[in-house]
Amino acid sequence: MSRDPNPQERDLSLRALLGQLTPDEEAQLAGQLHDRPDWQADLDADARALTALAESLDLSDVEVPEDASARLLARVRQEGRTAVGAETDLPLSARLTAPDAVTVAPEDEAAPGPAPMALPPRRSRAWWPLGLGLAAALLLAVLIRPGPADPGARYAAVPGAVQQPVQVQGEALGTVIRLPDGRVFVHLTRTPEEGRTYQLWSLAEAVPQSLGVFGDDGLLTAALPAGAPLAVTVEPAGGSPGPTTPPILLPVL
Amino acid sequence: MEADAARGVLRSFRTMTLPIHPDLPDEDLLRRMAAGEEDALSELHRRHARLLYGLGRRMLRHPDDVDCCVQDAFMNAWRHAARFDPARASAKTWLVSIAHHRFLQQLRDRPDTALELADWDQPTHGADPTDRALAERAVAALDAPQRQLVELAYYRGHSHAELAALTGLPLGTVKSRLRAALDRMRQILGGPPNGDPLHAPPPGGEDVPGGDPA
Repeated sequence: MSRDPNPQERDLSLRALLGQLTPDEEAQLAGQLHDRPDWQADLDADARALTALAESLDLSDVEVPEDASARLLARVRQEGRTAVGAETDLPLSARLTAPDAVTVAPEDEAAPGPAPMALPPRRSRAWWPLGLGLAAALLLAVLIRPGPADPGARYAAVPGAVQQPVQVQGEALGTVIRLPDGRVFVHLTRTPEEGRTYQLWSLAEAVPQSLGVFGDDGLLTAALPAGAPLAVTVEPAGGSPGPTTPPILLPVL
Repeated sequence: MEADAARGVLRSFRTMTLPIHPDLPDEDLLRRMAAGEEDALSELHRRHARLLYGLGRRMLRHPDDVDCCVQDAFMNAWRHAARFDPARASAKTWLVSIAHHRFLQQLRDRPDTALELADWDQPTHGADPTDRALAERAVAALDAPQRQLVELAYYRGHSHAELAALTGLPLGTVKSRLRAALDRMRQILGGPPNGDPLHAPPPGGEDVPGGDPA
């Protein structure tokens, strides 16, 4: 269910668009907006209005450096897509998914029972290392250390969210939560050692696709298909173009 | 092996890109960027770099900062293209919001971002009525106090409290004027593109609406 935002809520979302919220306030607002499509739509309309300020500028004497495009492409090739990919790269308005996706996804609500640590039934993944449990356990012992408390509580509290523990050889290492709109939140309770980061991968294709790097705060993905096979590896800071360490397979949600 | 064959097919598929048609919508460019097509990023840059450089110049003023931040903005769009949701915003709004976010970060990273009200300068409007006509009408529909506040907030990143201190207005007035300004702009943007007297710009024309900003 949704209702129109009240004046205080509209003030809050406007402050978000103007970059005036603290990260905590922003995260709280994102959680509130999740089930409020009318409020999201209001925020989107504000974002469109603010864009008009930029569009109305006189650009007649604005010069784009001649080499700007070439430098951009050179940077893309050097850094790749996985170099940063942090949530903070994007303003709140660019992170949210469509409100419709929250309400029009009945198949998501009938989430199948999880199959913890089972290899997802996907083809063309013969390259993926096998015997992962032991390798992952060794990895965990060497590369990661205890981290802060679970920051995923707000996602777990979303009505319709499905949550499963991430376990390696019976040891609970974190949580994966699938929201009703298809987004997935992943959090591991241990902190990668200095100079390392977690990297989340989609295994739906023959070659793993990076979904971003994350640390103590976990990672919220864009909407993914139900049952999307996911894995986490520990990578050098900034991430890697492909997995370089044994993966921790996540429960399929 | 089957897996090797699959990898080969995938590699071939990924290196095969279709030419970017000049009329391809921005939203399709982002979809192609999400699939790793660099040509789509180049085309998006060609279409919108000037807008982002213009916004950056308005917010940051220093050309080196602007160039760095615009590059960052396009990189962020490249990395997060898969998160773009056309149901929520146009590609241009998405891209501008990412750039604005990066410019604000840069403003706040500066050691001294203090701004006197006298620094606020009312920007001039472009002469080209075709591309920006609706946006210009939306901005032109604001009265001077509304416009001053919304521009100080958007271009300078001032909080409501800072705006109250700068202008001497009560905090509640700042909030209500900002909200009224946004609602007015939304009314214009959501209304018919032209010909509706309710949405006509205020007397005084579109070039310098509202008079003295102070």
